[in-house]
Amino acid sequence: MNDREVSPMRDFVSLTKPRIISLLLVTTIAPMYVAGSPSWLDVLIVSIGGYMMAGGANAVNMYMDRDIDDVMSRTRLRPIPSGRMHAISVLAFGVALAVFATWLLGHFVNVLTAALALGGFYFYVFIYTRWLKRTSPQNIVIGGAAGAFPPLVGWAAVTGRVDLPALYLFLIVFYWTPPHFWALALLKQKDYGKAGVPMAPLLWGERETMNQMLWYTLILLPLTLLPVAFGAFGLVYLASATVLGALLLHGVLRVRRETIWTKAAWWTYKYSLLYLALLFVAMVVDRQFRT
Amino acid sequence: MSPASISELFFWLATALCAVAQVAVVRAALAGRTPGASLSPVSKARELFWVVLPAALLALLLVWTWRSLPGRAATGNASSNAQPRATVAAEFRITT
Repeated sequence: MNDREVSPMRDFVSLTKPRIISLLLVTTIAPMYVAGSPSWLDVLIVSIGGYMMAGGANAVNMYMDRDIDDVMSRTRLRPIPSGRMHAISVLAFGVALAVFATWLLGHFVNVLTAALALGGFYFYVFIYTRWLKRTSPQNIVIGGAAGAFPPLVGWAAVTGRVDLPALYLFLIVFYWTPPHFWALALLKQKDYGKAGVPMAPLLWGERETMNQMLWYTLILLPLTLLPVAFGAFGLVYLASATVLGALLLHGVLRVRRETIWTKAAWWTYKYSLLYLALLFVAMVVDRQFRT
Repeated sequence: MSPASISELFFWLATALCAVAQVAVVRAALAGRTPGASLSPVSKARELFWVVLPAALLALLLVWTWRSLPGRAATGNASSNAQPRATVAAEFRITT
């Protein structure tokens, strides 16, 4: 598509990275139904607030990464590197979204929910984008914490607190992030190399990255099952998490095993998205069966 | 086996798997894994910190989980199977 054909409204929407946020919303809304019985209005407000906070963080991320976005083919067509938007407008848009989301969640839900959502924003912008992304191969591991805030937000919106099951949901997303993003990093390592981003495959090599994907998956899978041990979830969830987890492990093992691993890496990357969404859906279904 | 024993067995199996994998992650960081480049002591220490931090938090969470197992509810410091969230919340809460 020609750059001139992109409407300003479409650019504003693209700054929020809507496809990524759709998964964040699943991991926000599902915990609400696990924690209790939220009204549709609660869900609507948390969804809007969550979208705006994550969208704001993504816009600020595009502002901070405008120099490397221009170098990578994957990001070259974004609004700033393509010249369709001024960098400062993007920054203002991102900050405005975050401010409005904080007010919305704090005013209509509760202060803890707003604080957690804002915590996720700060973590993504400052700890991940500003600090770790360009300095450490652990960027994906620690940066994964930013994406793990949504379950806490959803849980806190219903209960007004953070409990043990909510921390498990946080950790599940946290430990899911490395195998998910390293599958993509393996595929896009040349792009990251051109931009000077120290992704694991570039620093550790492909083999070690694949090994790490396996280790993190082997931490993730028992973590997804542990909530069953203390009674947070039942058999429906146990069966679902076991099957979904086995498929994820199968994908990661294929990446390690195959000489030409490109297809397996793509499959693992795409399946891991589905995996996380279905895992959270299984939590809700399980809860409905038990009540 | 009682449900409490099954929960404990389940807990220890999952914890053992988590521990083995987490130790492997830490071991790889300790061994140094940047081919062709020697990391400065500061960089190495920083990488180790970022690897050990989640491991430590995971260990804390597992301790808390152990205390919340249904079989340990009799000691008065854990949640029951029927109402896990309410009792756990009483044990540790972040509230507004």
